[in-house]
Amino acid sequence: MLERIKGVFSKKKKPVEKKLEEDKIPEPEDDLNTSSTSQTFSNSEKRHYQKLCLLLSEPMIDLKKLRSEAWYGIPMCYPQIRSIVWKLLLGYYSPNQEFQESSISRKREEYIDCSRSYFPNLAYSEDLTETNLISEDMSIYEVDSFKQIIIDVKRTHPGEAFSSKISKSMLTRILFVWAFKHPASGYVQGINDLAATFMYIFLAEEIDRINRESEGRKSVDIDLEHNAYDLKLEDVDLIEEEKIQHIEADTYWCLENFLETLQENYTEHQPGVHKIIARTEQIVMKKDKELMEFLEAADYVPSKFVYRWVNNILSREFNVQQLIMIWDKIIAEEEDITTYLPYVCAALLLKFSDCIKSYAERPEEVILLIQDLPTREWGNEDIKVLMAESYQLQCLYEFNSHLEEK
Amino acid sequence: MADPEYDYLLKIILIGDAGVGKTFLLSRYINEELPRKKGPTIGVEFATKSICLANGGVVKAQIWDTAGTERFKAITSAHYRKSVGALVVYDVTVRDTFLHVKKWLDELREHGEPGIVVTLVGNKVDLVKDDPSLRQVTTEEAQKFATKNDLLFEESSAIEDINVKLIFENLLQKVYDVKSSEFTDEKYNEKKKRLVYQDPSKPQSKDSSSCCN
Ligand SMILES: Nc1nc2c(ncn2[C@@H]2O[C@H](COP(=O)(O)OP(=O)(O)OP(=O)(O)O)[C@@H](O)[C@H]2O)c(=O)[nH]1
Ligand SMILES: [Mg+2]
Repeated sequence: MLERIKGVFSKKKKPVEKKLEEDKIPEPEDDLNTSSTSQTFSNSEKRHYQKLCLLLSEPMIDLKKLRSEAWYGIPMCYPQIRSIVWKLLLGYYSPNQEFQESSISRKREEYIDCSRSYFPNLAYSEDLTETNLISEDMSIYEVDSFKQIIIDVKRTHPGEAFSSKISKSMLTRILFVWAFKHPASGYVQGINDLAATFMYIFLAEEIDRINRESEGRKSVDIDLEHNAYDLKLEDVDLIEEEKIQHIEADTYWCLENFLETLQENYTEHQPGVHKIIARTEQIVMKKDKELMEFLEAADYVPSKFVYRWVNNILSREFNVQQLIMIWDKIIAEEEDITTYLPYVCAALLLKFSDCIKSYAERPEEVILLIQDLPTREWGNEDIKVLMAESYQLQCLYEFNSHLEEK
Repeated sequence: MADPEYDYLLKIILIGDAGVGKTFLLSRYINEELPRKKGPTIGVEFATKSICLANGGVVKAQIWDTAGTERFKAITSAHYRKSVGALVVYDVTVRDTFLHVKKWLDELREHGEPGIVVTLVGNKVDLVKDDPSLRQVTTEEAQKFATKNDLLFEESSAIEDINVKLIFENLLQKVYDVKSSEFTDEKYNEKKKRLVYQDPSKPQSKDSSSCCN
């Protein structure tokens, strides 16, 4: 915690060339100043970016330092930075750069083999329909998850690029393999959004790389107003098949690792979700008893809506760009996500406390507000404030929680 | 805009398999457009609208859209209570979703109010208009099933806005008619309190989304 506050980072003079060519991070000096979007990045953002680059260039990456630096957020300008940081912090990439390349190839192969064993002759260009996916030797359980996944992939849409046949095919396979590997939970709706968020980052990274290499376009289009990567449908078609496989495998492993501590969220009756909800309620109760009483009176207690927040790790309450900023913190957080998420949920609810209370005697308005929070209007600053407030709650209640629990 | 008082507050639920188009139908009806945020419904979602019915009467509908997935059943079935009407939706291009209607009716019987008025809705007819071979449930078969089980029946399309208003408002009309005839029988006021779910915090509140003025 202390490090996070003080922000102590070691500095090195010259970044060592990274091993994996595809993960090469553009030198900050080169690009930040020449890029058409450079004027929008403040000096502090540039410094922050450079610090991350330095940390990533160490032969043995210091995950602790990376964690605390990443906790401040990851600049949008280079999608590959976030991609690498997330992969490292999720334990997918090895911090030891000497072994990184070989371990990544091994993991990717493992996924591809596995995926191939389920779908021996499925091309990316093929339509994913029940007829070409469901075979006779599948159990009812498998067939049911298949059908559900096919329905949900069609309506998973964090950006235009997800309308492409290729991305749908990738997402479908990822979810199938995950469901098969986790029979205790199987596929649960909501996991589609989680996988799509990882895929969005990795697609952005690759499209950005292609655009940088080809002349003319400098980088992936960044929609400055919303600060989102504007991934075009046709961009996905530019990616080579081998890269597509890598992105698919990387998405799978990040999803796998991300959900490792969240298994209980998706098993029968979802006990993990209920625990996080209960903890959220406790925190709100301590901070704003009046709000809790108000919600009870409106017959709309947090368990009725925090359910979706937790089940989808907030992916329904924010657009993908806002979500990424929130996940930066969730992934960089030292505590595991089940400990941290209740603070974020509580902070989010508390943000609307005054508004909710202004609807005295109008329970319907309360429900309509909460089920469709006006976060669309939020800018990056609002997200930062939300995360700072979550952290504040955490400081307030977690670090002396043993004192409170009688 | 004058805020009309409504005669009854009616709680309606939308049920049926995942992906049949419940959320699309509701959004089309309430907002006259397709949902802004697409994706499976996690748990339940709520919408409300005041309606002047064709045969007279003003009702305020509280509509609960539920997740079709088994996994969220614990949360969704709690909302069956106090519902006076239900739309059971299937997809005319997916036979299984029609076969599951029986299961949904059983659920209603188990968790819902006795005497709940039910409409069977065959959604996505736009698809079979373009390509009749996609149809997996004929209109006749569904109609027969509906008659046998005492359900209202209609085919619809949320995408092309076919029969959407109709399915909601015919259901509300029927609930209204049933309730009003019951009330005129005897002790109007007492029965009204018992039979129609009333918003406990404010039974006769005013509504901002007015429909008749
Ligand atoms: N062609 C056609 N497609 C439709 C129609 N209504 C919905 N859909 C499609 O079906 C998909 C599922 O619709 P939803 O409204 O999300 O389904 P749902 O019944 O609410 O599903 P759950 O929330 O999972 O229970 C959507 O993504 C639409 O593309 C329709 O009238 N015609
Ligand atoms: Mg729905």
